[in-house]
Amino acid sequence: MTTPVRSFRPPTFPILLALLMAAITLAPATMAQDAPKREGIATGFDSIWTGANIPTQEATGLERIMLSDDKILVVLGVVLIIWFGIIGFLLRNDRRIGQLERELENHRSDF
Amino acid sequence: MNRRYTLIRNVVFVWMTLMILGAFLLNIPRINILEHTARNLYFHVPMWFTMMAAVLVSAWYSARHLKTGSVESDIRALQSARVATLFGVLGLATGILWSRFTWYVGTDVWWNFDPRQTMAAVQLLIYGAYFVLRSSFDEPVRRGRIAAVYNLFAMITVPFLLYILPRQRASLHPGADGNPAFDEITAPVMRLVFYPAVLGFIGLFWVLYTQRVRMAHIKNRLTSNPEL
Repeated sequence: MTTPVRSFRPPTFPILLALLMAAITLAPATMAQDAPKREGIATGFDSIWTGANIPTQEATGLERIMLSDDKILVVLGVVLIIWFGIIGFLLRNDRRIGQLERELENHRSDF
Repeated sequence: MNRRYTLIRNVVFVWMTLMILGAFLLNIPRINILEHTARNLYFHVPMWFTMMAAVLVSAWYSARHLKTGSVESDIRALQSARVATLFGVLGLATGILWSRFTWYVGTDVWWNFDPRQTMAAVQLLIYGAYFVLRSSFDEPVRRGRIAAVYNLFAMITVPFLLYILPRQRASLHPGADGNPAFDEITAPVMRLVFYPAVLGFIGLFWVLYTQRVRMAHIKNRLTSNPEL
């Protein structure tokens, strides 16, 4: 008999919850329903197609970097998020395989 | 490891490489505000298509499990739901970044309760509950059956939360109230990359999912408990 190995799992659910909580705290008081009256937030998508100009502040800090070269760095950021997500998944699998290998060793020593 | 598996896996890797090259190297029509971020269509949107495919696979095996009670179906339902959650989280994260530096420029807003985005977060919480539910049972037969019933319920909520409800409100997403539909705004050259990207990411899902299923098989043989 092998002793069950209590495996550590990154807490996906709490992370999601924390993400949502952070979003709620970071969000402005206005919600999407009020947004159509506010230029530049939820109206952004359809106003592109009507060619409307959306007034914004001067870009500073992180925005200045992300908006350079016609916003290609935003695409880079998105690709990196996906890449890191896949890496994270593979790392978890790797740890699981390590546990299975140790359990296999335990089994061998039974014989 | 059989040959068919290896073949499909290698095809997926080559396919994805070509897709990424196409995504960055092909010229696309430049649109105000969107500019190069239109290329996120190849990455952000397939995340959701892949999640949907994974959710369907998961629900299919949950139904199979309820019918036959086979452990194999339970394993597949769980692992498919895991990878579905991965793609859902990535879809949400990429959407947050995209909107922050495209439509929310100058507003310091990372999350604006875009209806579809909010519903997608709710969707992920529903799937989070599936894993919590599973982990609260020690007895495999009960765990399998109750989790399968819950998983079918979770699948039913997907079209409502991701399609029907968000389309009733103003949103950044195509097809929402007052917005043009995907068909009307997507240039032909972008479809050339977009459809292969959807297929490629679904292939990637298949690779990750079958790996997890194989690991669960090994775990099951070693410990008589396939839960990973």
